[in-house]
Amino acid sequence: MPAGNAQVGHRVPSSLFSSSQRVRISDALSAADAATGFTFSVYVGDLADPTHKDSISTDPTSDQPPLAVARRLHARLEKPADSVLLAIAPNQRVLEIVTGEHTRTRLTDQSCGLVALSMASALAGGDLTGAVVTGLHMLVDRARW
Amino acid sequence: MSLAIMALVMTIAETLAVFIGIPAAVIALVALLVYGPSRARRAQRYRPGVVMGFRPMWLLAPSAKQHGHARLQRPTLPAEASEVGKSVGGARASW
Repeated sequence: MPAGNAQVGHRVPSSLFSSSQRVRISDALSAADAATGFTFSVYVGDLADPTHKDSISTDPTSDQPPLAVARRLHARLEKPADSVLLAIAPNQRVLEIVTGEHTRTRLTDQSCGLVALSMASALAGGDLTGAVVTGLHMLVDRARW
Repeated sequence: MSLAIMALVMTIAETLAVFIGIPAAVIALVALLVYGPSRARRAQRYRPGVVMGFRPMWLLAPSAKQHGHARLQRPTLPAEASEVGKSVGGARASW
């Protein structure tokens, strides 16, 4: 393990993605939107925000994080019913795919489960960009018409 | 003085400096200018299990951003729990 790793937790770099990786993700998002008519979005960050713990726990019926957090992010999209959110928490090593009311009819939970597993295996290999791009491609392929 | 005559009067050290040292220095300078800037601002590599500090990001297709999604640039949480639709689906995986 490189000696530099000791500082990784304290350093706050600008981004997890290089500019070319960003372009790849952006292209995949555009292609996915165009092919399906949905709005795909990708969130990369922690899915349990300690500063918001109160607001999460006030609702006794809400699901436990990170699912609850991912669903709230999804609800903040312009048209949640027509949107699909890929939420990835690299530090927690968990990812959530959230579909809306309409997108769910075309992207079954079973399909999402398969895509999530595939993305997880790419992430376990450290390939963050590849996981996002492949996940988007797979979701488009599995969307029913 | 032509190059051939110059080579005759130069010592071995001078010859090496002129014909190997200078070209090598020029090549190194060009390589530094080409690869240096991108190496300096390279994004950190994700390693599973190593906790990283990074700014959360929320990415949308460029066309979707133009249609009023710009407010998503600030990825803070959360909507009220009541706003979360009841009929949402999806899947989870961990690694």
